[in-house]
Amino acid sequence: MGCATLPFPWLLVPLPEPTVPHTAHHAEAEPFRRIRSDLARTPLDWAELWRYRDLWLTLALRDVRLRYRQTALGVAWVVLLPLLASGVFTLVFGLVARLPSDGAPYFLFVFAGFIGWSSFQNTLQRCSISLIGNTSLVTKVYFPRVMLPSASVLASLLDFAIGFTLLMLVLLVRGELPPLASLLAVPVLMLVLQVLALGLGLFAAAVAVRYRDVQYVMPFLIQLLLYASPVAYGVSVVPAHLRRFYLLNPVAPLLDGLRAALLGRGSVPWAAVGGAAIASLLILVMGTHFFLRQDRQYADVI
Amino acid sequence: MPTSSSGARTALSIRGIGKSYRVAGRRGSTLAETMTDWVARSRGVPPAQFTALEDVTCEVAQGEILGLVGRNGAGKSTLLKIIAGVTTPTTGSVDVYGRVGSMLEVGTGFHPELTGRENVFLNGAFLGMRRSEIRERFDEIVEFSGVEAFLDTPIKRYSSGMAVRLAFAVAAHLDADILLVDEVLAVGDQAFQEKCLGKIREVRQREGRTVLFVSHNLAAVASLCSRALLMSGGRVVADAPAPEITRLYSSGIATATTSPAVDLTTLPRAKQGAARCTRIRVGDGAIEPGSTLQLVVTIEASAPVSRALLGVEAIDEHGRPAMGISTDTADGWIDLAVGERRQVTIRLHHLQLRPGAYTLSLTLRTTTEFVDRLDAVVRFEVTPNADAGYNRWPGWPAAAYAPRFDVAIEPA
Repeated sequence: MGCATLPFPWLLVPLPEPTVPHTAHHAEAEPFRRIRSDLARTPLDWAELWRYRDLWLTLALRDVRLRYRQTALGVAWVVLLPLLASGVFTLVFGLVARLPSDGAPYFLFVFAGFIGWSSFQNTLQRCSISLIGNTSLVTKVYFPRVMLPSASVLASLLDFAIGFTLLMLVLLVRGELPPLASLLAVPVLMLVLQVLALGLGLFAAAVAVRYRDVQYVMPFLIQLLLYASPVAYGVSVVPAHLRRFYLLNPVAPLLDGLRAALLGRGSVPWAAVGGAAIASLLILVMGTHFFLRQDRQYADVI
Repeated sequence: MPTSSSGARTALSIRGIGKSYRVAGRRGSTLAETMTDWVARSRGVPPAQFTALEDVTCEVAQGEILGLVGRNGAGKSTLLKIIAGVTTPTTGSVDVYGRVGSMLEVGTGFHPELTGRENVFLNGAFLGMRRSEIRERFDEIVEFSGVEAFLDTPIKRYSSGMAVRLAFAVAAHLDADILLVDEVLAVGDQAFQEKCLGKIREVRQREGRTVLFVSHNLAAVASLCSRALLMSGGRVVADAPAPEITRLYSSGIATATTSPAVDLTTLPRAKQGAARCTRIRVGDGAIEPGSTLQLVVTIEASAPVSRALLGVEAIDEHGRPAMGISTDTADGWIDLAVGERRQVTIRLHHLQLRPGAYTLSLTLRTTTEFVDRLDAVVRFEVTPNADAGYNRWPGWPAAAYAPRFDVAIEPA
């Protein structure tokens, strides 16, 4: 090309060939990534998920940081919300309806159930809007999409940890600290609860991309599930002949067991919990499968 | 390891990539809409298809800076999105040899509520970086962006220029082997744009990274890229050295010379604003140096627009901006009610352009946002005339603008 045709000659610094070949990711003959049109679903690439592990943490921390930003009370909400909810339930179910609470003060009884429930509900709710709430990310940046819903789990666990600490402090003051053996069941039950929430959340997140109806249906279903689960009341008030059906809701034995473990009263219904664990795992596997089947369309449909 | 014909290692191997969208039952559809869609299909009504990209095949060597040139809607961004892995192709495949970093839109991955510092980490994480890697380069990134003072301020309080600077700084400093840059230079001031161009050049030179560069700034493409693709209607219509592509684009794509009026309604647009330019008429008769050039642009509003201004730029054959005006400097403010039309007549007095071919770009904007933007809408030719001041030495001096001037040569 002749000099006369060159625009902006002052921008033109001669480009020598690269001196150091950049070989970091090129040593292998295989492509780093292969983009194909003929895949029905996105494969679950564990190596890639591992490479992106810091994104998971960053997203989870972003959720935690953002939640109470620009609120007057800030982090205090983490403590206030379960206290307020437990207060209302105590008033209605404990003082007015006078339901039994296995010997514990009704407020603590509800509080122990509620922190477990709210970790389940928060994960499910945040999962379900995790894609549609991050439209610009989904349409503009590549990363394993599973990161978005799964990152919701950390914030829920953090909330639970705070509620748990508060509960233990109160129990300590009252001299009713549960035995360690009883508390050991807590992480197991929480794990199953989160697996269940994440599994359902993956379904909801994928469906919400196409049908925004999910946004309106979810709060209603969650409300329904709250009343179908032992949060505001104990399993003991459910008539014995209905209890078999009642425990078909996997959340029920999990919350019942969690409350028993947290308060050190009653016993964890391990048989029902085992059933719930199997169901939760199945739901997670199916949810992941469903989520990945839709994966290739998210950016186009959202 | 595949290598290209020149022996360099391959960074990207794009084979027969195509992308089409179903037009019906799109965005935000409800169950009811899908059902009516099913009914339509069961009656044999085929879903409407829109082809964004068709059979694109191309090899990109490692260390190459490849320019992508074409009008809005030509498929450039779709191609980048597919390479980035954001969206999936309908046909074909791409082998990607290296980590891809993308700047598909300014500040993608930035969260408005998070501070600059937090966003640097977030953005890095989207590129698949470890937090420790980001921490290592943090100071470098901040220094390049020049927003040190606002690191702990939420991004939502940043000016768009500051956000762009930070976004570019992150992408440029992160360890991506292949960098996709889409029209980032449209924002940011001149000094920062040059800094970005310099950075892209340096990154390529020192580290041998590959860059795919989409820009409407033909001068930048010509100076930065060794090779470019000219895209039109979702296809690659030319694959050649960058200067040749920019010349092709500025001459071939625009509509032929001074046809009485050009319909602009069918041109693809990046976004649908409140109003749009629907028609342009350029001059009547010969356009010569020193003559008066008349432009008539018709604007139609679909939503109310107040205090808009129309900018017109003439781009020469080499992609250099040769001349530009904005109606507000002559008090030409445009107010439109819904459905209203205005005809804007601009008379450029004493045209001080050298003979040659020029294309016009139109920008309709308010003081705060772009309403409509069209590149290379029409091509016109400034023909040589008897005025020796403009055409004694064809092609020299190289500039398009040739002012009237006096010269005095005296004993010193």
